[in-house]
Amino acid sequence: MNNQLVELKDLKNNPTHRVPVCLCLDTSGSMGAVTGNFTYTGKTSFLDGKKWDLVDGGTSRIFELQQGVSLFFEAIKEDGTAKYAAEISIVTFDDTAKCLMDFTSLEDQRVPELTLGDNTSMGEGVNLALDLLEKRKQMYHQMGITYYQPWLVLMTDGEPNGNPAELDRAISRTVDLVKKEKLSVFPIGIGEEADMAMLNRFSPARRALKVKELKFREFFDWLSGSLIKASQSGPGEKVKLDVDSIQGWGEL
Amino acid sequence: MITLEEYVKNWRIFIDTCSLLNEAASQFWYSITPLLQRYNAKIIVPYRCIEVINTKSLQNKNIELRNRAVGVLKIIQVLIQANIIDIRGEKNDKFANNLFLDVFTKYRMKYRLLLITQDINLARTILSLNDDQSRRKFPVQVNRIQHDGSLVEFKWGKSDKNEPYKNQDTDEPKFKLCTRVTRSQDTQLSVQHIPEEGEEVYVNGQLVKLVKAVGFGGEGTIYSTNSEYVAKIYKKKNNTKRKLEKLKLMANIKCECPGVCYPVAPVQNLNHEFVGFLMPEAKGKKIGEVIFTPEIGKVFPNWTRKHLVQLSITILKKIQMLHKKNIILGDINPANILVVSSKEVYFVDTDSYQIEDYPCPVGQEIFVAPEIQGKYFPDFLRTIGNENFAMATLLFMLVHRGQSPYSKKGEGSYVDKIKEMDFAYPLGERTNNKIPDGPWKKLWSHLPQNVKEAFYNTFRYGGCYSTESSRLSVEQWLDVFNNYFFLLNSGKLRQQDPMCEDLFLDK
Repeated sequence: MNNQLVELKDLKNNPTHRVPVCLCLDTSGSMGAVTGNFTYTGKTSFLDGKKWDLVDGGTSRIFELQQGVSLFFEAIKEDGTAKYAAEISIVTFDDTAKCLMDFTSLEDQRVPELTLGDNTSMGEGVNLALDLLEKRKQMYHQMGITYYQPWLVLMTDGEPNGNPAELDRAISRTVDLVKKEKLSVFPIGIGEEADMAMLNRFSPARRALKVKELKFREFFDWLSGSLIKASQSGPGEKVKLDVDSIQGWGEL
Repeated sequence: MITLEEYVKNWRIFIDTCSLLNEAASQFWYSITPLLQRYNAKIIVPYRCIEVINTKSLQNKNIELRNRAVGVLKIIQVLIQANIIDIRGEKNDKFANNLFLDVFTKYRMKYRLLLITQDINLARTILSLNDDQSRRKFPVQVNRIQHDGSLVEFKWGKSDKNEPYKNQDTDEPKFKLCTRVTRSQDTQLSVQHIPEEGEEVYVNGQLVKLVKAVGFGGEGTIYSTNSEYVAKIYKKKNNTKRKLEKLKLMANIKCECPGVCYPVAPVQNLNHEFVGFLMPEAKGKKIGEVIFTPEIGKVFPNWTRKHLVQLSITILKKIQMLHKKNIILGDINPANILVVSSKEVYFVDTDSYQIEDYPCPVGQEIFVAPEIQGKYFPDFLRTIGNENFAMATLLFMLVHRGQSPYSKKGEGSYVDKIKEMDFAYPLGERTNNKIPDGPWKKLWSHLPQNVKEAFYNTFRYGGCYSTESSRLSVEQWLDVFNNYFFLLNSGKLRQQDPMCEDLFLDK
């Protein structure tokens, strides 16, 4: 209770125009896939709708993602304006959608540990992310806090296999918000198996980006850079994709 | 030249209505008060002058003048209490001008007399007393208050006795005022090589070395050099024809305003292609980072509202210097002003300033006036009225440590809120429950009335300073803020309102 009061006071005392960001991350079984030096154990497992060879060693996608998210937080905290402007939440989706970290002041936030589940309930994940953003916006309205268009960063390495109705609802909600200029969406496909066509359905304005495996750092570096830029410009200003800096790692 | 100290020590000093009402009067009081206290001296104010100011404070036609008069009356009260002025008058006193003539004629045999007035005709009348150079009489002196609060003698040119001494400010070279955007295009110039750290460049035909990269921006990189200046080297796409022509024009008319990192000379690479410009180095941190966020409590733990008011004055004076040269800053924003202390600030990104027919190509939405919202910056010239909106927004944010004037409860984008001009902060009895949660309502309520009136009338739809042509100018804001600073500094405001200096008010 006491913590909540302190947090509320901090929130009211900060006049900076905010950029709420929700990272909506795939933690399905396939995110355990590894690259690098590994050895096969000879065992197999059925996970996330597929059969997998189990291995020792290598670097998993989820490990890299975790690193990337940590770097993202650090970069934001280092910037004098973005540290007071950015507000971040994290939703993960596997068998279900979970709010791993709700919006609060960046200063108190620690990057939570991402753990693997089984399936890819992407629709459920996006719906939960949009709910969190909506709740945050309501709070801003009630408190009189000015905010920039919220950001939804959707990252997946596969294709959704959750409830199809939830998926359709998530797509139509997202598209509707983007068209009304009430949301910026950044759909990111990880690796070769990412369903880019599906990701593009979430994004009427800008094409989904494919990030090569183990290149999350560059992506989060770019994301924090863009967020810092946005936090210094006017609310409602559109985020421009800096194509120059993306070409090194993305496939447009 | 007689110093202020000599005047205070050995002269009897009188002040006239128009000097009391002058916008730099609070700065004048600020500088003379310690001397008056040291020599236990007073400045004489005829009661007739106070009556005139009183009448002005009650009239309704010219609100700006009324506000100024109210502010001056408050200052006069403080000065009386502090034993700094002496009000003199008799029932049958004539109008002030004749009164001064009578008094000066009578007492110039006994005392050295100084009159402070802005009125040239009165000055001439009083100074004509010196035509009678009788030995038994002291010569009289007449001074006026200058824009920085200092005193200066009235002087007339040799050729024409009727021509008053020309203000030096008007002699400085100025840019032209234009209404149409230049035809010069933003076409990219061909550049074979963008110089980097350790390389040499040409400045006015001389070789200068780029020693170390000290800053990175969207447009380019800033390097320290082996000269007293730093160099901004543009990225390839920003080396445009329009930019080069504008920089040449800027470098032609010097702007020696300390703290304004104004272009000194264009920079060329070794192929003599335009790549950037040389400018004075900036110091400090962005006000957007250390004043407009809760960081202020960490970076300036001892600051009170007095410091914010002083910082506002420091910034306003620089804007004033630029406006006098017909430079419109255009992109006034908290990332373009760096702060070292409340008396030391640096203006950066000056290459974006609007100069003659070269527009300022950038802007931040919250500083963009309602009448130009949504317009494409490179395609039009901003007016001084547009600029005055940005300046007022910055001032509101400065005294509210970052809270922006139109942030309020309820839906809608900030731009919509600017266009609606539904300013949430009240004047007088009007209540409003849209002010953001937090200390903002209290911070507003502890502003002096005339400061509130200035903001209210600027930001509220229908307010008397709310349109492009009626917004307060930099001089008028300086007047408001100098007055505010005087009230804070004299302790007078604290007597009425013990929390007037509190910045955090969150208990």
